[in-house]
Amino acid sequence: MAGQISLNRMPAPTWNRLGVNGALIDAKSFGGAGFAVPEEFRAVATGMGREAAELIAGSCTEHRVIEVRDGEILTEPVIAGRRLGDGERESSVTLIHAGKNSSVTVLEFCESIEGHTAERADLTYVIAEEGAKVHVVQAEMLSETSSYMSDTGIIARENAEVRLSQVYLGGRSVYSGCETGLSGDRSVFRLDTAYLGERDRVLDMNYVVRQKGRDTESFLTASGALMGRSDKIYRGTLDFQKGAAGSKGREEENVLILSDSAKNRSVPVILCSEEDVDGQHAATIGRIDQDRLFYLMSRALSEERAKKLIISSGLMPVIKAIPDEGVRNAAVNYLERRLSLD
Amino acid sequence: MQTDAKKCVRDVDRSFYDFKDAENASFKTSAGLTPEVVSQISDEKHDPDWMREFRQRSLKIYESLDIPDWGPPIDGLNMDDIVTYVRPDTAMRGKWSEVPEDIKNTFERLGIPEAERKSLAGVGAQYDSEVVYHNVKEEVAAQGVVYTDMESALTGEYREMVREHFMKLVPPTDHKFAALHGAVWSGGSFVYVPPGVKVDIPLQSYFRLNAPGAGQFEHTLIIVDKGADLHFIEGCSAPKYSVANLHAGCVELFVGEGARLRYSTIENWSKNMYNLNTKRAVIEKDGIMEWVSGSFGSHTSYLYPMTILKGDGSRMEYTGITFAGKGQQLDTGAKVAHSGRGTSSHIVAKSISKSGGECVFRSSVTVAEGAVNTRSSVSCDSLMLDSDSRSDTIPAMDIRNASSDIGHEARIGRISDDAVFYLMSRGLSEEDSRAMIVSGFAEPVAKELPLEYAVEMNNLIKLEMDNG
Repeated sequence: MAGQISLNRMPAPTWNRLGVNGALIDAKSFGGAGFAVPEEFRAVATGMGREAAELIAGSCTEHRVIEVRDGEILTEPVIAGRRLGDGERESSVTLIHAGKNSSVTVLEFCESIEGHTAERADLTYVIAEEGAKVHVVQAEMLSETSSYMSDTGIIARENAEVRLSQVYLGGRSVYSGCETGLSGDRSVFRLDTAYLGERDRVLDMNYVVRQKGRDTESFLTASGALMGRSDKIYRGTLDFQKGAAGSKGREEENVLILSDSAKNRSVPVILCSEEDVDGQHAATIGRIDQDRLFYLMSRALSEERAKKLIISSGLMPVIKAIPDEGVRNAAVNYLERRLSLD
Repeated sequence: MQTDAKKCVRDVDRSFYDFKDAENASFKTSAGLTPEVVSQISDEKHDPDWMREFRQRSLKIYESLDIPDWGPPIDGLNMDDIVTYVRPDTAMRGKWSEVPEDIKNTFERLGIPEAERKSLAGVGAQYDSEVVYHNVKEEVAAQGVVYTDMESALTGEYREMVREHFMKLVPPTDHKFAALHGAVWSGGSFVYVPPGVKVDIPLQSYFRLNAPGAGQFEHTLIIVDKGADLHFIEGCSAPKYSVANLHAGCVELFVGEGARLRYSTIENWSKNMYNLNTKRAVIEKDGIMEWVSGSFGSHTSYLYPMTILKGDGSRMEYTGITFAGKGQQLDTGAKVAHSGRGTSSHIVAKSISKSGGECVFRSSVTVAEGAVNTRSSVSCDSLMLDSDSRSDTIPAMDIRNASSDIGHEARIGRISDDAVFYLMSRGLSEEDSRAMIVSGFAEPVAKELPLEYAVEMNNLIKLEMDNG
């Protein structure tokens, strides 16, 4: 399978000339045997959309099924990931089924060393049954010539809590999407995304939360910095559907722009067909807070050092969520290395 | 057992506007859109050659463009059924006493002559496709202010100025309905305010569409020269028919260096109207553009006044409220493009949805690479009064430099129980508490309007509480 695919389509489009309604990319098969995703998971919508999910699953090079039994609490994270070699292309499908009142943390990461070009795609499905707690952490630390795709679909049933933490630090292009269905009453979804844009990096993100159950809650935060000629689109949609009475949704984005050649596009959307909800979004985009900068410089830091400190402070809360010390330290080192490049 | 008191906020009361005159057109084109129909309009209006060519070119562009695929559906609008030009049986007059009785009565009922006497510097009144009355106070004309109908401007003393500006801000290539406008436009107003002139009281144009199955395509062109100041008010209404009507007007505003223009609109079209209007302003150095917008009528609206902050230090403010009741899909908002240095924009939007009405707030803030030190804030509050209705916010920001400060916030929700409780604890009934909260919600827009229009708006958002 090869050719152009459409992905990251916004559920409610806007003016086409803004170029934010979705993305079209040239994609080719990952060359693997593929994996027939069971119907139960295939029915779960993903953020990047059907074409991307079919491409990844249809040619995936690996897959894993994480089945957590009712009441089972996994105290150690399930870790999947590795350093990719030059020219390697791989895609992975992960199915997570968390039984009633179970708990699991899954870490997906990938890295490649500078000078090596690699390609990685993750398709992750989560079904969290009643009262389950699932935390998925994704850390991308690819080289500046590599590319990455992450497509996620989540269903949370009654009282389930799903958290997704994403850190995007390096690849030349990153396409990421997640759609979450809060179908169960009192289910909760929390998304934290941190990214660094530099040089010619393209970051294209699409997040959708469908709040269907009563008293559901969603919290979406994104924090990032754009340098060089980086180009980023963040689409976040909270969709309060009829019947989601008592639900709340919060969406917050903070973007630091450090270059006049960087491009930031943000589309924080709320769709609402239920009266009894409380939906809010806020975005702050632009230069570094001059008061913060002045404060740090008055403590003897150079302007460059102070700026880097402010950038990394925006990303660190998500990096700290990485549940494995080795991967966490690798991400911290990677960020520091990246910040010293520009 | 005590039954809960039913609280309701009544739909916008349009009965005031819902009276019809017998059709008495002296000429109208056949329904549909063809080169012949466009030619007929040119003949009727004695267009200069360049305008004849412009119309035909616009028609070709119209035919080549697709209907927007991102907004509310407009399937109920069939251009083959729309009559694009209806000339009322009168020439334009400068005195109300000379306007035919039935048309004059229409505007009397809408309160236009009275408003002119009390609080306006000039009035233009359009009935179907043509302006039937235009007048400007002598003292305002003596300052050099030009306020006339577009047709007179097109061939009169200011014809070169009109030609230089006409559909330059909104070219026919902009979108399908801008092209349609370019092909069949008729009526509207031309305003020129000379340098340094401050017009203390507002000018107003009122657009009334009486003919069923017709379109209204007025063109408003306003040039506020250096250091000048103007408040322009636009009002519109139509009686309700069972067939679709179309409004695809176009407003082009040129605000000169250090000048200020406030453009206020109370839009109250009937609920069979497709309101696909385009408004755009370009602002020079240190100029100020202020939009005040109330959208209450129409079946479907696409309305997003756009401001291009071209000059360094230029500013814009948009304050708007939209109220969608049963059967209405009102897609409204604002667009701003920052291209000068040190420009600022401030957008405040409110919407209320009830009885199945659908409100969409849509906006775009774009900051160009060279637009250093831009400041922008967007705030959008939406109130849902029941779960049969719908309310969406779709803001977009495209920021391309490192010295901008851009903020955006939006909230969607219901009337807060805490706020009702607080007011009730101060002695108000629950019904009065809710009424006060909705009034307070709309107040930021009402306070930006001249008193008479604020009263009209408050009448439109009429609250009624009863026991069910």
